[in-house]
Amino acid sequence: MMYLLTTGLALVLAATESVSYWGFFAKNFHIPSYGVYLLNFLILLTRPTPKLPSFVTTLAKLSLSLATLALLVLAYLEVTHYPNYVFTITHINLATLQLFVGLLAIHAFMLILPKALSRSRRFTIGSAIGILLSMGSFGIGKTAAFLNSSVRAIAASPTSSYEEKMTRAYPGLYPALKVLSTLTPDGSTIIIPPQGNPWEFEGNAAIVRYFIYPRLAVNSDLTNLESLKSQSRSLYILIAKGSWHELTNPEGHYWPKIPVPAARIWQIHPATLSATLYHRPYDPKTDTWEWGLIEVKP
Amino acid sequence: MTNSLLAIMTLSGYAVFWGYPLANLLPASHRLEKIALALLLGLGLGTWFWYLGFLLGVPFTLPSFLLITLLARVIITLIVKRFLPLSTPLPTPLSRLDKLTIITILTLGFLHLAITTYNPITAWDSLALYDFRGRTIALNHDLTDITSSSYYLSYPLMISLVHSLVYQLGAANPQGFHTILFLAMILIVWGRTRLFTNPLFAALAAVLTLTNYDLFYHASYAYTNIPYTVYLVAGILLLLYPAVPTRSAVTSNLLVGSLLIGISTWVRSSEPFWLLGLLLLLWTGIKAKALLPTLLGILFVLVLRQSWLLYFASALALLPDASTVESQINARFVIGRILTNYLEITWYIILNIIYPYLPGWVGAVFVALSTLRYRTTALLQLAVLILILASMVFAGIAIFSTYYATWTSIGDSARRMMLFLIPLIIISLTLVVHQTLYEKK
Repeated sequence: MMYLLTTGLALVLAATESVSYWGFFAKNFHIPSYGVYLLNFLILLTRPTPKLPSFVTTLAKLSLSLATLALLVLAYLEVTHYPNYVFTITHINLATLQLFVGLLAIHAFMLILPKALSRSRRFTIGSAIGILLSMGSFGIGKTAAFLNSSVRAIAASPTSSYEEKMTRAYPGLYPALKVLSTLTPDGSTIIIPPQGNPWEFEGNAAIVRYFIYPRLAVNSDLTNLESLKSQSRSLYILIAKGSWHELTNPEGHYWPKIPVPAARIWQIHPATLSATLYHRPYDPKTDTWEWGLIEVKP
Repeated sequence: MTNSLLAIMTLSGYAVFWGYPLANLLPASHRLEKIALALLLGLGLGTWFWYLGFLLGVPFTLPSFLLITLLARVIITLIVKRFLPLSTPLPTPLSRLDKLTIITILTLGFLHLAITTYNPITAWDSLALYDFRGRTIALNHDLTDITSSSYYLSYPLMISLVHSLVYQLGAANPQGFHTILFLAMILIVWGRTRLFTNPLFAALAAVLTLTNYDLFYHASYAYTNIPYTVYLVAGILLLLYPAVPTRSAVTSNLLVGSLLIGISTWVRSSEPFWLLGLLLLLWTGIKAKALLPTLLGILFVLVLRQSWLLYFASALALLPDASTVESQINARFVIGRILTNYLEITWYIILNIIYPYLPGWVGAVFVALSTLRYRTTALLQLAVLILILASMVFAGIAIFSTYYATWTSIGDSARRMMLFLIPLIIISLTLVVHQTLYEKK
């Protein structure tokens, strides 16, 4: 009786928390699900498994197979769509569904494994297989989705060049810095904005340096421009609107925000990998460009 | 893409050739497992000897790599022949299931390699740090650009030197190497589990580790977490008390295992998990009464680790803007902060570390409990190790939270740091099932 009661209760709790969240019963009914699971395990280990009709074993096998398959498919969908897609669409919680599959496996294997094995052995084997099954199906589902999407991406453009792939990864930044490299001599110093919204990419000195090497990238708010002039023979300033997807900076887009005396400035066109040259100083009021470059007067 | 594949295959082949005399000492399930171990040893020790050569004034060029590593190989081969005339047990023949497992591993591995070789390196840190160093070493044959900033010095050089070798061979993308290292680990997981259990459980452990999304996904990026996981896991598996503890098996396992733990610190030096390698080395060494291999193993680990740390400290001291690194943590302050923030830290660990890997953690607790009744020395070692490693991760996050204002934003890094727990938990679970099924009671 206790066996059936605690098993039924444990499975119902696990199933319910699979479509809500871990701790649902603790919060709403003051019944922590893990307490029920532990009680159920205790009964499994200490009381003999009652003789059940054979259809129960069949039902347990079927339920376990279906739940495992569902976990695998849902894990697959989670990766092919977006994080938390499955919960948003189906209200199924993948973390707690794994617990449900594990619990189901313990009970299924308690029934499936030969009775010649002791209860504790069947319980141990069932638990280990249950954990492996839930970890495995979840992992295989997600990995299959990753493989599928990656292979499809390769198949869509198998002959893409390095430049094309990098432009897809860093649109704007990569082609703009490629043009910048053609406009500036090796060893020159490029002043970039201080890293922060919306210049998270443009202000990342290590990333920018990777693309413009052997030039140097230096973060500056331009208050130390004179000092930088004395340190570098050829000094440039990157003009950048700021490409971060969300603007939270009250100062808004576009950098630099102050006029800079210069002999030459370029507006960079990443789409055509080209630049338009102007022989005049930089004015932040008019030169509101996505990308550009200022040659600082020595 | 073809150039990159060719360069990766050429280098991998050379690494296997280099490491084989050492890997051949080990009892293994199959030659493929020895090849995987030889690859790890060849890449790790090959780049390390190259670095020693650089410290002596030799530039990082392809000819210098070849000369230095060939010389080192000759010396190692002579030492092995003279002092370690260990028998090499013949690999047991493969069953049909073994062949199917290997075909599965290689097929998925090939697809993974296609992805990593096709995709350029784009992830922030891999691009700006590890690959940048590789590129500049390939161009300048020295560490000039690297020693100019503490950021570039923050990790040991192994992965960057491997990238540099690929670039010096004329290829454009070294990311595929991370697949090769990942595959080597899977083959070692398969081989080692097979030695402890049977082909069925070995297949289970290998396939579940291979298809684990966190490992599979992270291996497609050129971060150092997967190489670190590979060396740490391979080292731990070799240092476990062998299923058949012959003198030669224990000696070779301890020596090669400690080399792999040492190389893990040549990939990432700031993590303290190498200490667990030493603990395991002592445990197995003392139990098997193998004093000399244990002492040599400790020496290997310390020499490999210190060789980078000493250079790192001296290079950092030369930097004009070097921030003074706090060498001693104020224990009272740290404990006070942890006690104040304990609720926040606990929730952070639950949400970012435990919840995403819930079945894994349940598995870890289960393995620990099951060793109370069904255990072999290796299983007990794994259970103790997993629990200590997990405690170290939790303690590390708690300590980190006391001196980094933005500690709550490192969820991804924290999860990447503990990737090595996944294969260890999977292997432990297969050992539990095997042990429970076949114990003679």
